[in-house]
Amino acid sequence: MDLVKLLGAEVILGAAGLILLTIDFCWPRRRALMTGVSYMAAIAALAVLVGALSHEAAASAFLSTDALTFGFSLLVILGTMITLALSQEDPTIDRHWGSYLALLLFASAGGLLLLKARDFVYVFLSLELISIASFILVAFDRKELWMIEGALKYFLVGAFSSAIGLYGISLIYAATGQTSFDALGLMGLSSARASSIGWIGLGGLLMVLVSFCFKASIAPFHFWVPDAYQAAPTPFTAYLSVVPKVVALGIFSVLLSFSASNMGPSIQAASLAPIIAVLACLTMTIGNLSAIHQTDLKRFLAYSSIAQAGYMLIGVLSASRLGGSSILVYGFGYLLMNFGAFAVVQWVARARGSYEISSMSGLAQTHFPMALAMACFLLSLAGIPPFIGFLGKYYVFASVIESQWAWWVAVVAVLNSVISVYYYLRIVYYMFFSDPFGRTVSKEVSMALLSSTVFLLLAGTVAFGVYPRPLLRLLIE
Amino acid sequence: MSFETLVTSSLPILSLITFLPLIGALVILIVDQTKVKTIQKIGLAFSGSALLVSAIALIYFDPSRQFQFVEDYAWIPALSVRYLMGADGLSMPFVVLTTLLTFVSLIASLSIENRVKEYWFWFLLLETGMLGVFESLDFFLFYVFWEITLVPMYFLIGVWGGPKKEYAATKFFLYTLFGSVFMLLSIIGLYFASTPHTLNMLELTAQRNELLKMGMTFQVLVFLGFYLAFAIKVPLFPFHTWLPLAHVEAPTAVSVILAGVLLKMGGYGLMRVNLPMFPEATKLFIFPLVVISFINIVYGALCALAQKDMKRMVAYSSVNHMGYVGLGLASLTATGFNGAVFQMVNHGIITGSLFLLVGVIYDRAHTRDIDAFGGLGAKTPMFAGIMTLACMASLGLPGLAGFVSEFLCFLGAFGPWKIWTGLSVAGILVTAGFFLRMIQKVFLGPLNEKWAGLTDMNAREYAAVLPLAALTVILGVYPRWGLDLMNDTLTALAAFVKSGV
Repeated sequence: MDLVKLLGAEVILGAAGLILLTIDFCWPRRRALMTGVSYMAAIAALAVLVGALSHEAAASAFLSTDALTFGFSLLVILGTMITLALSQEDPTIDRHWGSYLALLLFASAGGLLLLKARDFVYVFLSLELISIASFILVAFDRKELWMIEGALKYFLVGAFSSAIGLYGISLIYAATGQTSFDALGLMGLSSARASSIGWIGLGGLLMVLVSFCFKASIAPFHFWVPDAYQAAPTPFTAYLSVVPKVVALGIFSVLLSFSASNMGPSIQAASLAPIIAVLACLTMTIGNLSAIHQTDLKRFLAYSSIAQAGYMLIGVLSASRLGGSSILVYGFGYLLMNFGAFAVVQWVARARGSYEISSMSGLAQTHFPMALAMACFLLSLAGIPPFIGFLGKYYVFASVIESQWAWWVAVVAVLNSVISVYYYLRIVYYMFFSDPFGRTVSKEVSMALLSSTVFLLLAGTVAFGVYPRPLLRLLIE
Repeated sequence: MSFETLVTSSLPILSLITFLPLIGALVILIVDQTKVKTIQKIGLAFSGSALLVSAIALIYFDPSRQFQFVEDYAWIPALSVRYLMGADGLSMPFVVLTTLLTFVSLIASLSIENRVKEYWFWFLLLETGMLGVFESLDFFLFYVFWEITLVPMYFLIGVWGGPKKEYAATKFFLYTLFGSVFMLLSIIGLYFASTPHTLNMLELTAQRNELLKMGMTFQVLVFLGFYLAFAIKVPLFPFHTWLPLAHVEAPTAVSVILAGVLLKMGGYGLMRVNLPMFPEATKLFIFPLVVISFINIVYGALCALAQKDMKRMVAYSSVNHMGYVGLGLASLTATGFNGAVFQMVNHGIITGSLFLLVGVIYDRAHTRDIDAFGGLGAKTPMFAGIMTLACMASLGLPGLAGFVSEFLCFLGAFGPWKIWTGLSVAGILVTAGFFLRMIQKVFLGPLNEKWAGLTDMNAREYAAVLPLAALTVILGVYPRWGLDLMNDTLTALAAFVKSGV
């Protein structure tokens, strides 16, 4: 019974995916039906998730949930719903609609499973579920040669990183004969038990870490990101930039155990922490510096999302409750603002037929609300109050300053914020300071769903930034 | 219930002042952008109400008491962030200065014809941000308002500014953000250093001796984090380089706000945070502050002397005037503090009118080159008269507002820093030099025939400048009006700072 309670949401998403595949095979023209099924599945999964909250935390040997898992799971399902809405408005996804939706649900099921995994075998299983679905979705629209290149790159790097992770798991198993976190003494158990993992096991853990870094696009394992993001259909790019990334960082923080118990960091965590600190600094800096020179909006947001992952990685650093919740708060804000930015990009690309940054020109004069929304998303990404991005950054900085030894990471991070403002403002510059582009929205295309998604996300970005109390109560308390 | 209790205890008077402009901005957002007159009326109405409410608050403000109109609500309990607002004799002058200058600037902005809706939206948002900075007593809240001012200012310079507007806007944003992010780190550091963890500025000030236990390195780093943010805003040498560019490129009304209010946020911050909260670091940095103030005064004045562009000259004169403020602060005496705050207020009024007046002539002649004019006094007597008044006030002519505050700054600083104060007096001479030179070249001498068709000021320009000119005279003749407001608070503050150093 426990297992059903644990896996309810995953089962619903998986089953809906199978139903969608069947419908797609038998009645490929029933688009509305397929859309309906996918929404129903997402809503049902959300209901199960919220329902499970009222029960006490469930656990088995391999899977368990706690408050942080709930918050991250909520993030996955909301991300899926937003992606569904954006996908409906993307005309490039014209064929195999059912398969597209099914794969999206599979990826989300994998994400949910990963968050609960407390055993390396489950970790690998769920990572693969996300990855394989993502490989196909990135290659979904392959009209141009460079799109195929991006998708192929993503596939090769993804397969490679999975192999590294699996090898790391086998090393851990070789050193200890165990694969469950609990038995391995991860998750903040006593250091006496933790030391039994040994250097081989630590090496294995490091390889698992590298594999996570690929998935979460942490530098120097980020080079696949811009090409893959550019190649994928925009709604899925948005999904890819948020959901798998936040999930990977979430499980990472669980693994190094800062959430499950308050017994302080284990030996593994302590020895990995300096490496993580350096990786975080590297990721922010490389992401930000590379974003400055981009001319394509999707590549631009790709590099920006690399930098954002760097900020979230800081939350992994500090071995405290605050660190775990900082990733969650940041991740939630990131969900709202990054999906928002992608939604506006999709809107502009459809209205003006180009992903060039210059296609943003004069948006403030032709569509002031849309331009204002984009400005808010970008400023939020840069961490300017009163938007939710600032709250996330505040949490992250607070967690690292609380840890004391790593305060210099906070200094690197704020300097990076200043750099990031420079390139986020570049988009604002085109929208507000340049004259309109010439081409405007073609009248026959209605993008009501897309626009309302944008403004819903904007409302969240502003409202939760100004009054975060309900959000924090839901996610953390 | 009497009106007095309504104002002093029942109504959230400070929130009302702060958020009336924001409501106005949101209303403007839903008005059609072609209805220019409606937008302007809404903007003036909301900014005017903020001015009115702040005037009422001023009437019921009791200078002899500590923080008044306090509002305290839990905001983000998870981070111990509170919505804590209050005003004392240090913040009240700035609140009124802000509402007044914004209203005046909006009158001057009636001439803006390009993208009116956006302009008024940003301007009102800016007013909310500035007011919040002076009223909030919780560091989180303070930081939020502090950063909110950046965004509208960026757009106001970047869209409606001069030839190099985009560059100026970006430089302004990045420069000030660079300072403020370190302030954020200092704030978080203070939060974890305090027991129990708090972001309440008053509690942290009261805990200053406990904060000392964190060690000297902590004290110095946190002090520098705040100092960087505030010194960039003031601006104190060598962080003044953003100022001339931003002031010159900004449209007239925005220059008024930049010089009149935004710079004061820095001086206010130094007095509210740095000096009272970190006694040991203050002891260490007070001498450098004196030297920096001296450089500000003399270097700023010399730079102004070298300018050919009137607006640039006024911009550099701000650097010079902020030096007096620094000198007053570094005195750590009640006299000096009074002088510093009064100087900031006066500088807002005087330099505000100078920017408005430079705008008047630029709108007509499309040049600000001092050498391009001559003999305008005969052609535009009213303009020449008011401009001369403002210049005289700025250079510190007795009887006008600037004299009183500059005198107090020097008087306060002369006790502890005799030599540096003496050297700084040279700045006054140079200041007189560049203002008199400008008056001579622009208004005196034979009329340059090129400007024979120049008209005098119109009603809108009078409406904007005359209130400021009147205040210049009133505060000069009867400075108690301003000083009584702040004296009690500042005397207590000076004693508190002095007791730690």
